[in-house]
Amino acid sequence: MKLDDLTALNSPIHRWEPKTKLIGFFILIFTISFIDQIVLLPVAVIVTGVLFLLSKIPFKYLLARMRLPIYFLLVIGIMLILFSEGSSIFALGPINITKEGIEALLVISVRFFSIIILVIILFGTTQFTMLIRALRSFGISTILVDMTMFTYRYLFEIVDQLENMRVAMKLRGFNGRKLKNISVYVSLLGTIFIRSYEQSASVYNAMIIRGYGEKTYYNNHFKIRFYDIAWLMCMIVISLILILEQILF
Amino acid sequence: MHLPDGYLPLEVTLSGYAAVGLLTWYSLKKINNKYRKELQINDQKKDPREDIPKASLLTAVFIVASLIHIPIPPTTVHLMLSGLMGLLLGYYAVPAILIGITFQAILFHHGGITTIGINTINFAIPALLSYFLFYELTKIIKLSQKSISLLGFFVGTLGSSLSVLMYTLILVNFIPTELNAIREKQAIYTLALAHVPVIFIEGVFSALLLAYLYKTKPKIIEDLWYCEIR
Repeated sequence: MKLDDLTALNSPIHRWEPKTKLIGFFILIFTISFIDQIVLLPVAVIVTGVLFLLSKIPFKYLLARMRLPIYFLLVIGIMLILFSEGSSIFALGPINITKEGIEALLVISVRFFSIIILVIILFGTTQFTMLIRALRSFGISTILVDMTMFTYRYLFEIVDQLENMRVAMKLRGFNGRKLKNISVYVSLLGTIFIRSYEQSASVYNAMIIRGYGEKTYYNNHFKIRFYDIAWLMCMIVISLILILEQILF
Repeated sequence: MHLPDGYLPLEVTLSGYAAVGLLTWYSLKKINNKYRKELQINDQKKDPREDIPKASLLTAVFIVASLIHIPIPPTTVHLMLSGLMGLLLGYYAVPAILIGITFQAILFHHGGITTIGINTINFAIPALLSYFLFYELTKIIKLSQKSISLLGFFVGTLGSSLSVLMYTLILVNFIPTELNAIREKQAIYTLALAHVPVIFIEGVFSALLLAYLYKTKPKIIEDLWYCEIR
């Protein structure tokens, strides 16, 4: 699953300029991670839901991305339900389900899902190259930004290499279910290491020919319109309301 | 072991971001100092970006390596390889781990966005410690296939055991108040103990991988062991 799968869509969130979008979404994400009052949870759900609908991201896509995170929440949910203290709702042997446990599970679940959906919206509506430009414009170190760019560029190529090698191993009768086959996994990863290491020299030489390493002037200027500022202010106002409600009540 | 969103309080996640910011700044400073030192030694202007494609591709390899599941019947585990990353990347391990954790959170939702700082620190500090320790050890130990395998085993177990220890400390110290602390601690310690076989497997994997690299392409070990700086 690449980051640019859905960036060709057209929605109010897609049209939002990347720099202010990054700031706005991160403020909202951290605000949602701060709230723990049950009464504020519906607000978080509604805000997330509205942003999701406005982004025009298909619901099927969202469900597909949720497959892995749900397992983490399952583990946390089981711990909260089984090990919570407080007013008991249901008790059977060592299992004691309490009201406080259910509330804690609700808070963590809403925070967890809201943040994941916001992350999917943020990175699903922004092209990766625009994200890189936004990071450069924030003054992030060139080494860090270049590493991010190169890593993303070659990550999927290496995943494909790994998959091809796995299929080749299977066709040759490799059964990966035994611990003694660890040496085969070592050879697999070692081969990918060596290929990537050799490829990196070619990548660097190819980039040098194209002017990489020389003093470069990047166009990191984003045209920030009233539309972008309005969206950012909306996010800030919503976050401030949630934070004040959390602190005061 | 990646901590997801929503579990830790905001103060802890923000502290994690602050800590990783400091650590990344320190590592990038050391990387830039390395090139200034080489300029003084060789009097040749070396491009500080020359190692970036190498570090980036190895970062991608480490992200892919975390997708490989090693069978430990009846289940499978994925490796952390924090010690090995420190050994092979040196100071580049910190930005590499930061980028790796970020991509894992964004692409696979393995770990959270708010916990990028904490998750990075839990892998980056063991990686750097492994690098420091073995940079010193390589000054006194002669490199051979056997010594590299032993060093690899030590690196693998050290890195992953430190990561598991740090995660355990964080989970134990920030248990939600609604939970029965004693039972929760027991569950966390049990989870930590369950990682002991993984730590051992990491050591064995690192040892075999370093031996493989030394046998097949010794130049990788020579280049990445920063021998030229001595």
